[in-house]
This record gives sequence, C-alpha cells and structure tokens, in this order.
Amino acid sequence: MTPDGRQSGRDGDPGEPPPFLGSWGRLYLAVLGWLALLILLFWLFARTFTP
Amino acid sequence: MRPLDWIVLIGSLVFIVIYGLWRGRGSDTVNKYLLAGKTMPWYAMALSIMATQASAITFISTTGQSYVDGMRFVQFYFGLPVAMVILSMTAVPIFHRAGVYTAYEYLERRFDAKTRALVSLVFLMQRGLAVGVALYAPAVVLTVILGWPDRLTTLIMGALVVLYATLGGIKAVTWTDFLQMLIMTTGLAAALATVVWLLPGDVSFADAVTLAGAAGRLNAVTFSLDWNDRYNLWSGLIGGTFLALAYFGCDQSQVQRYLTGKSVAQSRLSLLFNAMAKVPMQFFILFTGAMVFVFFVWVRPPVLFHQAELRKIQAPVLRAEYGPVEQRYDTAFNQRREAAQRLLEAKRNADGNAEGAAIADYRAAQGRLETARRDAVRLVEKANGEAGFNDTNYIFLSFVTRHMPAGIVGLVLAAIFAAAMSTISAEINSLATVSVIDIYQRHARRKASDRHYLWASRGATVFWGAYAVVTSQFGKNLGSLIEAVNMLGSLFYGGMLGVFALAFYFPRVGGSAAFFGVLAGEAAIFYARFFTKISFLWYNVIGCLVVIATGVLLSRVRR
Repeated sequence: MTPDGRQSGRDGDPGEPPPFLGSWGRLYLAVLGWLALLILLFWLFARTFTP
Repeated sequence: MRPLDWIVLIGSLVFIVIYGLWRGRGSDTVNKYLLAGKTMPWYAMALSIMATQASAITFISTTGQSYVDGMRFVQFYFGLPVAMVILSMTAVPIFHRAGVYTAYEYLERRFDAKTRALVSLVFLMQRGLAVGVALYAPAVVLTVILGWPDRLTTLIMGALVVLYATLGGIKAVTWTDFLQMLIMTTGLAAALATVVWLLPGDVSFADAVTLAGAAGRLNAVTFSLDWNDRYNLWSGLIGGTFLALAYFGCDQSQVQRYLTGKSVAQSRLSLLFNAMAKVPMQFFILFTGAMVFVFFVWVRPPVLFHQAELRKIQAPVLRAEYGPVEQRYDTAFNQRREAAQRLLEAKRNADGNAEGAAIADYRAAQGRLETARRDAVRLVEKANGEAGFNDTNYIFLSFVTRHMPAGIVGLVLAAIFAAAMSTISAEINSLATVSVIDIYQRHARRKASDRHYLWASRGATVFWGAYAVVTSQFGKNLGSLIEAVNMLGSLFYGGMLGVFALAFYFPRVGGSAAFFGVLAGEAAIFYARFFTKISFLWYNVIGCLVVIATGVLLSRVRR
C-alpha cells in the first residue's frame, strides 16, 4: 500500500484459467445451464405435487 | 428453552466470537484490516458472501412467507446466477486491476470526486437503514422466547459483533462468516428433517408435499407477466438480475468480500459458487416453511403467531368480537384437517372423484381459515389503532420453540443468530470502510499515518455498531422483514447500478453526466415507489436505465 492509502493494483493474472472445465466461458455456461435445470426441476416438482 | 438448548446456543455464540478474535489477529495495517492483505481463498469468500446475504431475516421471514404465500419467493433469486456471471466477467477484474479498497473509490478514478461522494453517501444511507433491520430480526427471536425487551437483545447482539469486527477487521468477519454459514446449513438441515419427522406417522413425505401443493404452497415457478406481481419468473430473472448486479457489484458489503481474494480467479470462483448454491439453498428454506404449513394442517396453529398481540384481542374488552372469529377459525381448521385426511385416503385408493371433492373442500376450508386469520389481524389493528400488523416473522419461531425437540431448538436459534451476526458484521465493516476511505480520508484528512487510518477504521466500526443498535428499533413496524430489506435496497440500488454500468460500458460519459444521471435515476425510483403500483423488483431496472439514459444524453449534449 502506498502512503496515502492506495494499493498497488496487482492482483494476479486475470487470464488465469479456472480449476475445472478449462475456460471461464465454459464455466459461465455451466452456471447458466445449472440455473435453467433448477427452474425446470422446480416447475416439474410443483406440477407433480399440485393436484 | 431447555438446558440443552441453552448449552448449544450459548456455546455456539461464544465459539463464534473466540474464533473471530483468533482468526482476526495480526490485522495491524489498514490493508490487512480492511482487505485481509488480499490473502483470502475462494471458499472462505464464497461462504462469507452467502452468509452476508443470508441474514436472520432469511430464516425467520422467508419460512413464514412460504407458510402464508407459498414458495414463489424463490423466483426472486433466479437473477442471481446471471448477475454473478456478468460480475465475474466485468466487475471482478476491473476492481482487482484498480487495486481499490471500495467500489466507490473506483468511481473517482473513472469519473470525479463528486460522483464518488454522492454514491458513497447513497450507500451509507441505504446500508445504514438496512443494518438496523438486520439487527432487529434476532431480537424478534428472544422477544418471542424469553420475553426479553428488544433493546436488550439488540444491545447484546450488537456488542458481540462489534467486539470481533472491531478487533479483527475483515479477516475476523470473513472467517466467522465461514463458520456461521456452516452453522446455518446444519441448522437448516436439522429444521427441515425435524419438521418432516414431526408429521403424523401415517403421513408420508410424498403426502406432506401433496398437501402443500393442494394448498398452493409449492408455486415455485409462475410464468405470468404482471408488472404489479412481486414474484414471477420474469420479475425474478430480469428484476432479480438487476437487483443482484447492484447488490453484489455496487454494495460495498459484498464487493469488499471478493476484494479480499488472492487473485481474480479466486474472487470469480467465490461468486460462481454462490451462483450455483444460492437458489437451491433458498428453495430448501422455503420448502421448510411449506412443511411447517403441512405440520399445522394436523396440529392447530394459533390464530395469530404473535402471542402478545393475540392476548390483547383475547382480553375481555375485545372478547365479544374475537370469540366468533376464533370459533370460525377452529371450525375451518377441523374441516381442513378432515378434508386433508380424505384427500390422502382417496389418493391411496386412486379414487379420482373422491380426491377431487376432497381437494375442493380442503381449499375451501383453507380459504375460511385465512379469512378468520385476517379478521383477527383487523382486531389487532383496531386494538392498536394502527394498520399494517403482520405476524409472518413469528410463524417459524413459534413452531421451533413450541414443537421442536431439545437441542434442535438451540441449534436452529444458533443458526438464526449466526445468520444475523454474519450480516451485521459485514455491514458495519463495509460502512466503516466507506466512512473512512471514501469520506474521512478523501475529504477530511488526506495525509495521515497508516496507524491513524487503522484506528479511524476501528472507531468507525464501533460507531456503526452503535448506530445499528439504535436504529434497530424501527424494524418492528416493517411487516415482513425480508421484503422490507429488499424494498429499502431497491430504492437505492438502481441508481448505484446505473452509475457503475456507465463506468464500465460507456467510456465517453464523464463525471458530471454520471452525477446528474444518478440524481435522475433516484428521482425516477422514488416516483415509481410513491406514485405508481409497480413492484419494487422493477425499481432497479427503472433506476439503472434512467441513469444510463440521462448520463449518455448529457454527455452528448455537452459535446
């Protein structure tokens, strides 16, 4: 940190890949796919058990 | 509360404080105190982010909301994963590269000092209002259980949080959040398992879910597009995305969590973990509320869950009016239970006609029960001389303390307290950070030693803790607390989100255009709040778009 309270601004490599799926793009798609799956499951769940 | 419950509750609270003090040791510079020296691993940040968002209100109010309104509130969270992906792509690398302490510090680099000051003040106002509500929620717990005055409870809670947040800074806050999230998950699992276990022996889990569905309590996804409807798929996906973008991208109480990350990748992972875990977690909390509803199909629930208010209308002066209401309530409860029995029998016998008739009777009885409850609410409002009484926040606690076994009560209460402490500690920590970095250091004392700002940060933490205790007293008149907090946030988040969108995506927009854009956005939100019936989830969308439109327009006019 500099004397006036600022930081140096070096926080690792933004291009560092995620630990799984190989790229951030694939990981983002997996997250959005997971959301779509959850919505589908919730809808099926409610539909199955609402007489 | 039995001795075992007290042991579990007090043991958990003491352990949290000691753990926080131990983890926070060595926070002897501003960088370590406010950003943990940028050493935090993704899993600690991830659970800290979840714990900060999951306040005591989440447990107390969300379960109660599911009891009265079903599970449709889960749609509110559908935008969160979308927002997390957007933030991982944009805000996380930008903030990390800028090397800032606060999100608002970045605004001065991008725009100017007045825009930073304006947005910092908007944050202090908005988060300052919400922190009192967050502290009030656990006070509801002990008011119900022990009859302790609200003020004593908020004072004890506030003091515990201030102790470790002040001494240990963000390291203490983040690691206690981590521990508190584990306690919350355990408490939630125990609550759900116990409520299912407490159902009558001949009612299977599938039967319980059917009864919840027949009463409209499983309405987790609704496709209708209605601007005045608070929770549907579209308001959740669109409005929820904007709200989550604002909360996780512009609210320092969340931004500060992932600014402590070792790297961009670690911060991204913490957000993406939330993206995957938050929606299922909310689903299970709401499902617990739906199961509490089914429990009360078999066991008569009180007409009102707020016992002190119920006693008021049972008093001789209102007895003549309350008596018939209670009679109708009892009759409706017995009819609903009898219809539920018939429904399950018809289902087991695969008798479609009998099942249809039983469902109709079950729903009609449910309607009469709700009417009687509404009449009792009106009597309370008459007795108190003011409208707006709401006992949603007392439903889950009433169930826990009256029906759960020894040990589990203490564990669930520990989870509620852990949730409250994690939220409050993060909020006072971020309020202190903005007060010192964006206001005090920027406008009052620009050149001072690191030690000076460290002590200023500690002083600000104590100040905001005391402020939370004082303002928590306003929480009692806000109805469903979870909605109150989200409503408060929505009044300010649209403006904040708009200015960050201008900063990230509109490089030609300058400081003055952004500044007046925020003012125009806030004016639009307050207009929508006080002069229209538009649901609050849309305020973020409206505010954000007005800020962007005004900012872009003004920047073109100036050129």
